Amino acid sequence: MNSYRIKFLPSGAEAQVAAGESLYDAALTLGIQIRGECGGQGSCGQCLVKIEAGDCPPTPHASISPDKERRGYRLACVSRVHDDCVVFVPEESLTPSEGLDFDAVILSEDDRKRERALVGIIPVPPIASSTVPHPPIGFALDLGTTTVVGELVDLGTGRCLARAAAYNRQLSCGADIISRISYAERGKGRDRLRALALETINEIIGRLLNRADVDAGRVLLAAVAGNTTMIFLLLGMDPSSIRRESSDAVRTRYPIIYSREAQLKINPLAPVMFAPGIGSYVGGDVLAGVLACRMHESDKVTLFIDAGTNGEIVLGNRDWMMGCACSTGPAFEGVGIACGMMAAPGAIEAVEIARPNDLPSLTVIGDTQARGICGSGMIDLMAELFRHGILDRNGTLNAGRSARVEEHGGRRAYLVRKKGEEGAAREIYLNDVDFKKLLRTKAAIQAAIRTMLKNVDLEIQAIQRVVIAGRLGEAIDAAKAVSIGMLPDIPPDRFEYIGNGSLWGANLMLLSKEKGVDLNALADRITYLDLSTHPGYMDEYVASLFIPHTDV
Amino acid sequence: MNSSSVRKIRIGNTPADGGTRASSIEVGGESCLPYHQFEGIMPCKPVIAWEIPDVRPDDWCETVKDPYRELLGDPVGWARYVVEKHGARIICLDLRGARLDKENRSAAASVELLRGLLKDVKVPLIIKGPGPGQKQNEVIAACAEAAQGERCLLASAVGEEYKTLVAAAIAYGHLVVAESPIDVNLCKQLNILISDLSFPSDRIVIDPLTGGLGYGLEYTYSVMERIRLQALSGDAMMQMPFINFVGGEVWKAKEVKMPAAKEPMWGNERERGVLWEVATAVSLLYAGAGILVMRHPAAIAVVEKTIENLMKNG
Repeated sequence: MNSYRIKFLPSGAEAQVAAGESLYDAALTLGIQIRGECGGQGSCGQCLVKIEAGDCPPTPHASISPDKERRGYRLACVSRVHDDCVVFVPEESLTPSEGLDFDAVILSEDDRKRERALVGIIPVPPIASSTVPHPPIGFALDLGTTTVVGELVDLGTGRCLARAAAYNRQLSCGADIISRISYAERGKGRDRLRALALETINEIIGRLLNRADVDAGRVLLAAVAGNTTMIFLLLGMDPSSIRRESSDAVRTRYPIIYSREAQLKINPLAPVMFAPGIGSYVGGDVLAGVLACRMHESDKVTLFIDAGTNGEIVLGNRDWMMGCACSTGPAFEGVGIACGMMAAPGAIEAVEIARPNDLPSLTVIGDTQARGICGSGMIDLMAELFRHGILDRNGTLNAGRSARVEEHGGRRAYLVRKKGEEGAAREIYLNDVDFKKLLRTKAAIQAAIRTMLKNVDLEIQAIQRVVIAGRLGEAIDAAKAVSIGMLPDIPPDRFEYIGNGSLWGANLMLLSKEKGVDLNALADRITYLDLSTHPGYMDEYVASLFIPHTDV
Repeated sequence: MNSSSVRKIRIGNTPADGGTRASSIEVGGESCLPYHQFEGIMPCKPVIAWEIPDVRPDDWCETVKDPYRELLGDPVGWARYVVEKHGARIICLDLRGARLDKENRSAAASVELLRGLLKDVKVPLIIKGPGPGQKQNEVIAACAEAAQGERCLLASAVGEEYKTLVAAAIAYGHLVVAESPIDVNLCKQLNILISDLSFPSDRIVIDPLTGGLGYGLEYTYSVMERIRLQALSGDAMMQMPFINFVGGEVWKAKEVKMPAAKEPMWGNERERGVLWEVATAVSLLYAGAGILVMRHPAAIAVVEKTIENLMKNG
């Protein structure tokens, strides 16, 4: 098949793109995140780009005037490559997170959380730093469906040497696990997904090595935590069994392999460990999180929630544990939401609205200008809008309740910031479609918690500790999340946010031989509850598509 | 009425209540499962509403058009006929002619028809709009105003588009049908949403949506059963009577339309059609139906008789 050279401006990034692929996907493979809430359907009109050179037929859309069309404006998502092109991507067409220094994603608070997660882990003594001029280094990786985070760890001291993050380049092949699996089942999909995963990871490794100023050869051990599908795809294994109904047998145990087999660009002989999975949709990332929050050592009945693209929940204590997964979608990570972004500098992490017409007061990560809104901010916003009657119980914006609800791009939207308000560089809003997505995300988590509690016949009040992991944002306000029904209604002091549990777990695997070995035994102790075939889950889900929920 | 019974709903205002209806109709009020009168009371018997389309119903099959042959394009005459000849106690005016995909009749035309009907026919009225969308809002709002004070039942408020209809019912003193797609929670959620607009719960009737016999009827049955059990255990947001639009579901089924000449094993299609409507309606009665919207006089006669027997022997 023919392929063409596509150059994107202003970044100047170039790619060789197969004929027929969309400009949108081409940009994504280069890590350029063009907005597109309709998911490439050609309907939302957010992915406007300008063709500077080369041929690209017009893409009719309400947002492209005849004049703009003449000047070369096209929708990236429906423009199929059939010529060498130079494509300019305007600022407005980029997601708020685009261009962010991803390393900044990992906040300093995370260091504290990391320390806490690693309490009591003794660094491996025989190769301690005092006797070796260049102590060995470990590589910990959290391989998420949407976000990938890596860390270099001094194996002598346990200290973090560098951390880096990136969007998973597989995003261009589908936002969630199921669409990745179906992509893998088509043609050379599996090879491509593997290549994209490796590109993402090796790019991160490159940045880490640079930042820590060390040689790849010194990285002598790696630990990877990710959901079952991500690990299968990384290893080039066929993931199609994962979504088959009878596959509760996907309690995966991975052998330790050399990094040259895994194709990670560290010391080729470094062993690579993978956190084992609990069930088809509850993977090693969750197990790593369980390890990090130590619920398996505690008497307290703990509810562990990892709110990623796939929401995973583990309930239990030292005596018993049960895990399940629900499909939440990537909304809380900022993907697919008009002004969504990950919890990084510039993200609105908390929202207060005093009166319906008031300008919302915002807390922005990094004390900079707000450029988007992250998961915790979205939860706050929903709760505040609901409190003031601006958002209905079924997630519809109420035009009459606040002057900040406006028609925006053909949809009803709530404007958190208009351009220029409080010096805002760009407008920040969430529209009706966004709120529906958030409602579905909230409902999935809530329904999973309720289904699981019913399964073990426990009342909500029996939960003694709630641990929240994921990239929702440090500022998650338990009371507000409770008010929209997302989290169980128990006293706020029982909630705890640990951030990236998966990465801390991977750290533990690197730093403690026992913990690493324990993992298989730990995985065996967790009962897997398959919600996709659970008769009660759908009922609970429908009951939860409402604020706070109905209980029939 | 105690807190664990279905609300009693009154449709139609007589002159004493400020309307012009000769009678009003009450449904609901039961404190027991349908016809379990040994466990509680069932003060109102279920009622059958006769469905009258506003325009000539060319898509109705011959079996159900036959009894009304000369009345098909004359809704007011049709309504007068079913009241006078068949003793209809309530009429369901179906404003299907206003649908964009039908004749796209204007709201003004619907209002004119409604005024004529209100003048000529004095039984209580259900007004069924053309279905979700801008047109529904226009037509229902105009009709609600034209029928001010008559306490009609307006159909239907649905998930995303309930506000205009409910507002019209508030403004002009009507009742609403809350339609949700065969799910207990969605049913309750819509009732809460409507109540959140300060609409009194004793003016809501639940349409849980139904299929005809052979088209998922048993699913509706069990959802109605669950809603009713919830109501009887004290859930105030589920304590509304049911309405089932039986005729529209039954008479579009293949089994009703198929001529005996093509499927001899299925028997005479005219009898078959009537029986299909009877079987669907009676099943829904057992599930707790309060209002059945039906089409064929022969089917209605059988179901009326069944209701009498059930109430007597229940």
